[in-house]
Amino acid sequence: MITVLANPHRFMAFSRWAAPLFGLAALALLGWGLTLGLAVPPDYQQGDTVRIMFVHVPAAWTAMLAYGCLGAASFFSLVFRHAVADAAARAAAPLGAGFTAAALVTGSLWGRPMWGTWWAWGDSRLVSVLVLFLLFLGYIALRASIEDEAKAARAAEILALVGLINLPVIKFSVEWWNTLHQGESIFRRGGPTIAAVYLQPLFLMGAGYFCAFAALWLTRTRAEVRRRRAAGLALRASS
Amino acid sequence: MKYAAFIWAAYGSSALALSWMIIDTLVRGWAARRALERLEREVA
Repeated sequence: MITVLANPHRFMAFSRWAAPLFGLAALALLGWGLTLGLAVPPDYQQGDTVRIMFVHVPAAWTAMLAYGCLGAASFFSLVFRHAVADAAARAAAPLGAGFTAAALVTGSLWGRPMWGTWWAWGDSRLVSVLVLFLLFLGYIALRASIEDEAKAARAAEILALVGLINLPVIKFSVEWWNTLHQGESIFRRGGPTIAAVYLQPLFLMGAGYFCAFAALWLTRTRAEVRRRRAAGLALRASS
Repeated sequence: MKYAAFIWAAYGSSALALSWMIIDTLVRGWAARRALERLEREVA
């Protein structure tokens, strides 16, 4: 599949119908998830603030997915020199930054009423997600700061690959260190500790966020492929 | 609803982030398409 999509023409043909399809799926899933999420009864401990979980957790999941995609695309670009992979890596970074920012802000808005603080520097989960945000910004800044596009791509790809180490740190931070953030409560051995009534809207919103990311990622990659084709044409026209 | 301000602020900031990502993506996509079409016409 990756080898097939490495060809820009095949990628453009695939993404032409896949991007709107993911967009429609995102609309349906987010609409369904929001309807259920706003109708669930208040949690016995968190009260109505449990509803923040339906936008905070999917944003955090999607931020990690975006970094995983950025890392994978960087790997394929660095090792196999796939033309579309570099465009895909570049397209994933601003989206990842957006979803991470949303996760940080909504987490802070949940933390203030529940923990009594907006932010805790000693909390490894919070700080590792902030590092994720800085990695996205660093990737964008690095690509923008080097004029030679090929050199900028290589430097940014190495940064993206090194930054992959942060993903398991985020995932296991609540197990490795004592944190204010609650422990793993969904993807854990023995099953989720969250009541089923909250799991359904959470998974629907998660699937909606994933589909939204896929639609936006494909659309941005298409724009990046077109930008490169235009740059090539401009060069040919001027010579 | 207790803590309503926090809940609506969370949903509002999420909507804002998603809207920014959608608008920015569509504007970039549209601009890249227009620029490529213009260049293709010029080269042809």
